[in-house]
Amino acid sequence: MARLFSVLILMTLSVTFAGAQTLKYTSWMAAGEDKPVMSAFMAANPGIKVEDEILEGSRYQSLLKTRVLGGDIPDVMLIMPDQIQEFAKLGLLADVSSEPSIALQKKAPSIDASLSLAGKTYGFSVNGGVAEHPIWYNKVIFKKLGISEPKTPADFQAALKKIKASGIDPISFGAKDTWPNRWATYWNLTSQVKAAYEKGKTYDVFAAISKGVKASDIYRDSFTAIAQLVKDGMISKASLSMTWPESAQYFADGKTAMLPQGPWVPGVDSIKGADPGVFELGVFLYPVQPYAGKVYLRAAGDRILVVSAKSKNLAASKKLFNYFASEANLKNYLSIQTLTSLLPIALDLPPVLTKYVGDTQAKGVEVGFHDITLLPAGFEGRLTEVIGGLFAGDSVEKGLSNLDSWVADKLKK
Amino acid sequence: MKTNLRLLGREDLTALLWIFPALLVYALIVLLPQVLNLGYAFTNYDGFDPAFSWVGADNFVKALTKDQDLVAAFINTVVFATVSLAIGLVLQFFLAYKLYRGMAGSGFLKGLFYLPMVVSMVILAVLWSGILRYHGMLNALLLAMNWISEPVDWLGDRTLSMASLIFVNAWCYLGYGAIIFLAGFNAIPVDLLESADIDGAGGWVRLWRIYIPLLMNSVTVSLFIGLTGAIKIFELPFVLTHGGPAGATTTIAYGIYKEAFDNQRFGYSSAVSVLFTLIIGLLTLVQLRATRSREVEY
Repeated sequence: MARLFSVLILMTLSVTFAGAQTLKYTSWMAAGEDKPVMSAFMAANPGIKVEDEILEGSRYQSLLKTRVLGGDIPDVMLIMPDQIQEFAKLGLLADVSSEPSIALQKKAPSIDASLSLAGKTYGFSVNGGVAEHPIWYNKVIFKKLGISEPKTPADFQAALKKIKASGIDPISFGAKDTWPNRWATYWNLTSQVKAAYEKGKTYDVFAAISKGVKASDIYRDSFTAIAQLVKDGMISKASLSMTWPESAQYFADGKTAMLPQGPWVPGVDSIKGADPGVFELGVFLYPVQPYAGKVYLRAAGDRILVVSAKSKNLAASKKLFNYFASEANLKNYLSIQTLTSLLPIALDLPPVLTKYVGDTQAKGVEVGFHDITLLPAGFEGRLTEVIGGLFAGDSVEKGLSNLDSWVADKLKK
Repeated sequence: MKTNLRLLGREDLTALLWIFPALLVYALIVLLPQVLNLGYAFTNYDGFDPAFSWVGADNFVKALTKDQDLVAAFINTVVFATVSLAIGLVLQFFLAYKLYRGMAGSGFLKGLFYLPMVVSMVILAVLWSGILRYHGMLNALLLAMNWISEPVDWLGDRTLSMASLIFVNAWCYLGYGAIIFLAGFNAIPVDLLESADIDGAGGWVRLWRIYIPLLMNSVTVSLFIGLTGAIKIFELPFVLTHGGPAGATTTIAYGIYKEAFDNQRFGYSSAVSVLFTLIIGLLTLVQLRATRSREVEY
């Protein structure tokens, strides 16, 4: 009887999975952000099974590369913007120029160009936007201390002093993870654009560095501002031993007044579940001195969806790619996670994020696309590591020279 | 070769046949990567792009003359290994001594102190991370007891972060080293100790004239394990501090990893690892000679 039962189960399984294709999808979405997309795709395509694999975010690039070197390339994957040129040059990515979903990206030609090589598109920009500048703050703390949203650098300094005097950490980062430090590097982008234009005749700071302008010239003012904040005790000491999720919890617990982070903050569980008695989310743009009457902000890509050229199920992989990158899916995907897009998609964003997007569109604010793919892969990793050094008390000169030598070494190769 | 084979008896050949699969696996998994690593050390391979070129001894020259990060990592490693070993050996010795002399619940304590050795270092580091971080359990406890007025930055301060790593490492090896010393204590002939009693030898005389000389075998073993473990420490900086703050806890092993995988300088990190292997070999040799010369036959 048991044997008969086993045979029946085996027959059922073989019928169920006969002809089923299995795709491997890899990302750094540790909270399972992409799982609903995969489930919906499988429901719509019963013949295709997707194995969703998550690699640790702070080491995603090196982990993924190790997988690729081992010949174990995921069929469909998310990569970071500075990886796409390297992967495309090595022939690892499938040409997706003529895929239906790319039509949406073609409406933003500069974005499409940054994800292309020799006229062929190799990736799709899932999310991005003016993601580098929000300073999230706790309205409860601000109200309690009688502070309003800073509009000028002087307002900002005054707010910091008031918060520090109250015994609350003014600003925190999840600096143990390193990547959250990037928000400090773009606070003062206007000063970087100024240096890029005056020394390299371009408004793109990465293009300037790739043309030979020293990274130290670009980042000197930004680093000086960060070092001063550290010296004045405005950046929480807890930052260096906190990961990004821990920093979000720290913020939600009312232990720090400000958290510079991406637009996803409103959608994070610790923020959504915060006690309203101690926490209410607010946001403002880091106030900087304008250059030639303008404040410069950076629009940047984040998650880039690609298909492996080595996929044994290329047609199915492209099907998943098109499903993920379809406008209908993206609208839902981005809205749920409170993400913005560089592409023309109407999103249902929470009021706090809508307010931030409005701030980035105000008069005198210039949003530019700074093409990180022009620099060697790993530049932002090094940059954020150097910023971590500043948080720990490194001198500005040490940080700048560290960055210069890294760029020189990479460009030499 | 023929002569050599002829010298091998049937039993030797059978033995060789049996260990051949293990040797093959060892060669493929351990030896071959090391040979490849040696080859990469002379290239500018970035760990990914197959188009790399031969750069001669450039990587070695850079490592030995120009790399300030490597010098800092070397100093960090020496500080970590020296202080860890010094503190660790003393604590292991005294713990073993207390256990040897007998104390309440010594059987349970042996198991308790040995426990960290059967748990992965990564897991221990994660546990200690929860204890030592800025708003972790240790600071909460110290604040509750009014021993400190504000949290101590155990993992974010340059000096304290290294001290924290040393403490955790010494704690991890405490039980293991103590068991080695305890075996040494138990091997000391009872008649020798009885003779010392009759001669009226006190505690310190016993310690310096009997225990320490007769425990040099244990010191050799414990020092060897502790030294090699401390020099190649990777897990603690990897999990607890990510090598920070500002490289203050970046050890050579962690630095090699960062160069290879974060900075994508695989060729260079291979060269550093070759140099590192030579340094470990040399230090171990010196340590074994130094301690073995003090071992006593009894």
